[in-house]
Amino acid sequence: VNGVHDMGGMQGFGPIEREDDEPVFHHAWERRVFALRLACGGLGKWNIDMARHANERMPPADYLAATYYERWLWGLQLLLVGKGLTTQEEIQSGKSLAPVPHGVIAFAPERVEKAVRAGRNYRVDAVLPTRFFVGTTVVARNINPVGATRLPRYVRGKHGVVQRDHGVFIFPDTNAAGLGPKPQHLYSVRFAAKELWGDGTPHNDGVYLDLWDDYLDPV
Amino acid sequence: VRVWDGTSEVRYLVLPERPPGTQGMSEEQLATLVTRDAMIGAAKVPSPTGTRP
Repeated sequence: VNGVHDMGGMQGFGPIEREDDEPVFHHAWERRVFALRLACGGLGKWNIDMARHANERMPPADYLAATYYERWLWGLQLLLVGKGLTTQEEIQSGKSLAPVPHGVIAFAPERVEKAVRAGRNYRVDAVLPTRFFVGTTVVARNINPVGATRLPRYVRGKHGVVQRDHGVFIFPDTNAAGLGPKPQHLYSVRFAAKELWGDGTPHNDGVYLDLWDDYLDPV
Repeated sequence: VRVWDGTSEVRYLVLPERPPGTQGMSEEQLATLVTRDAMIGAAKVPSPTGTRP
């Protein structure tokens, strides 16, 4: 119910390496994987939450040993095979063994620049009632769904205070499961470090999380 | 300390603090000083006098 990607509050992974003048890509194949992900996403067979959840389903030992773009490649293969766009045999052989499935239209290079520049916006243009106003104390639900969620483990059951209402956004949990966007308010919620990590943490420190209505209950 | 743990629905950029020694610099000159780390809140913009804060 909880994926290896949900690493907040864990330790022992070593220092974060900071490079001066870090390049966008460290290897040519990373650039290729990045382009492949965007081009295949342009086929319209999955949404961003399905794509993120694909990466999260990498076997834990592999996930921890993998680099960022290795996870992207693994997730892409899961999506492509899952949607019937390719097969494991084709990935292994590097050869197309079947005709292109009906109705699949390649993402044309001339569409790339416009699509990248336009970006994506997951804000929903809908007026929905606000459940929590700024300054309200809320408690993060103790949910442990089988599918995707963006509610970190370390915050479940903890009390926080709403800092900001970002407006109405697509809900990733249902969107990742193909159950629709279920639009709802997204809030910035502050959790005191002491509430999360107990005594001995600095009094004024806090963690801010962007959380949806369905992650929160009133106190 | 305030930590923003993004759930990736909203992206944040930090407007970096203007470093000392930059009076009279143009927008283009200032832009050359800004680093990626400064725009994600992980570092200050280095002063053009050479000392890294």
